[in-house]
Amino acid sequence: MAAAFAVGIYMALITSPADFKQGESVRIMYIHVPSAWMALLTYTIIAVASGVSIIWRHPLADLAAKSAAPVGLAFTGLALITGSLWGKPMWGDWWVWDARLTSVLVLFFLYLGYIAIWQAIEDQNQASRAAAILALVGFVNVPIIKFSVEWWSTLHQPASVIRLDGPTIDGSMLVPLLVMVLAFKAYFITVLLWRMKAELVARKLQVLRLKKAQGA
Amino acid sequence: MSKGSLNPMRRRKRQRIIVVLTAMGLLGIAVGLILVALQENIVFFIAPSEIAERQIESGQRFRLGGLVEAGSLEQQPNDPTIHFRITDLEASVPVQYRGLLPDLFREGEGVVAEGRLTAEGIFEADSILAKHDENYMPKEVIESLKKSGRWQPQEERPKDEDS
Amino acid sequence: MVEFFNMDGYGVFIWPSYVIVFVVLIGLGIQSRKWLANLEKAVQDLQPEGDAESEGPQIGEP
Repeated sequence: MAAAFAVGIYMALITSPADFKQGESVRIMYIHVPSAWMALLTYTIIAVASGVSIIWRHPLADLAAKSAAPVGLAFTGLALITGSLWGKPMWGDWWVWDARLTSVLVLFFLYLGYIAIWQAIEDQNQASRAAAILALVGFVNVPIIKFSVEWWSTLHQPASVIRLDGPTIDGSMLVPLLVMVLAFKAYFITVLLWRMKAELVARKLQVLRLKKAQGA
Repeated sequence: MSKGSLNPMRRRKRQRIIVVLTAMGLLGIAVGLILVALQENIVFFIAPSEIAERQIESGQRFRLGGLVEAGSLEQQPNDPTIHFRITDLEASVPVQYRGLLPDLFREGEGVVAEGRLTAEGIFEADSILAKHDENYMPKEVIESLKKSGRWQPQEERPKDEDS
Repeated sequence: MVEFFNMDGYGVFIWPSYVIVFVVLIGLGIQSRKWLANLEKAVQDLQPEGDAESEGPQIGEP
């Protein structure tokens, strides 16, 4: 993970070229786009895990969804902040209420709501059910975010990489972007596993404490 | 033994799958309908050719979006007001604006202006946003293409770029 | 060097972007590690079988 980040940052800040329109400001894209993609991917993972949790009642699915949420929240926040820092010089404003930006802001609040449900409901089974339903309902927002730039006129530009007719981004910029995406994915998996392990240990601790209280 | 007698656990799971999938499907349809109904409010800007169709009157505030028409950018000496036209290749509207311009603002590039139409049909903008497109290219590549005369801007963008 | 940090005038936008991203990502990583370590330590403190009730009063309903 650290190696991928090191290579990615080196390429993004030093070896990659300036863009013909955006100039040097294109370098923000190398962290903005991975953040935004990971925000969507993480939410999709949470939604799938929530479906598994509702249907098969698999405790590990719950754990994965719960553990992924703070990481997804961080990615979404970073996508919004880095986008804003690019938007000011390029668009001329920090923020606009177009369909893309607004739907990503909604995603941010979905993450917040999801985390809040886990915090607010004490009974873990009830919390898991409520959180999973929110995650599934909120999933409609994911295709809206992805296609917002095609369905409506937005200030945000259309997709450059994932499109039917192939990327419209030059290879010299696509490669550093993909390296950064890889680094972000590795980061996500690493932190997700730490947090899932912590959740497992937390449950074990609860059982131990209960046993002890009963034994005393 | 017969197919009707799935064990109750499996039946409940099957039921839950059906409930989740139908609920998601219905929700998707509902949201889709809402979005179609709200279409006109979700768009961030209106193209020049849509002005008549949407019956926008003079004095009404809206965002006008399109390309900065090539060769239309004008500024009188000693006058901070700039003049240009916004086009969607079907219709074009004259715009005047006084203020700071974003770095991506160029002839032939996307732009979104916010303001109102005067009775004479001039769009008086009080804010200008530049719109980036989906193309990413190294500066050097474009410059060498230009030098060799092989640079072909997309769409109908004419050659003369600003400096 | 100065030119590199200036980034053609966009340095004021580029550097904060990178700093925020890495501060947040590293911060979340450290928080996750610490949380895990604390929990593991708490389990270890409870685990040893000779557990006399020397630990602090255990609050919480049975």
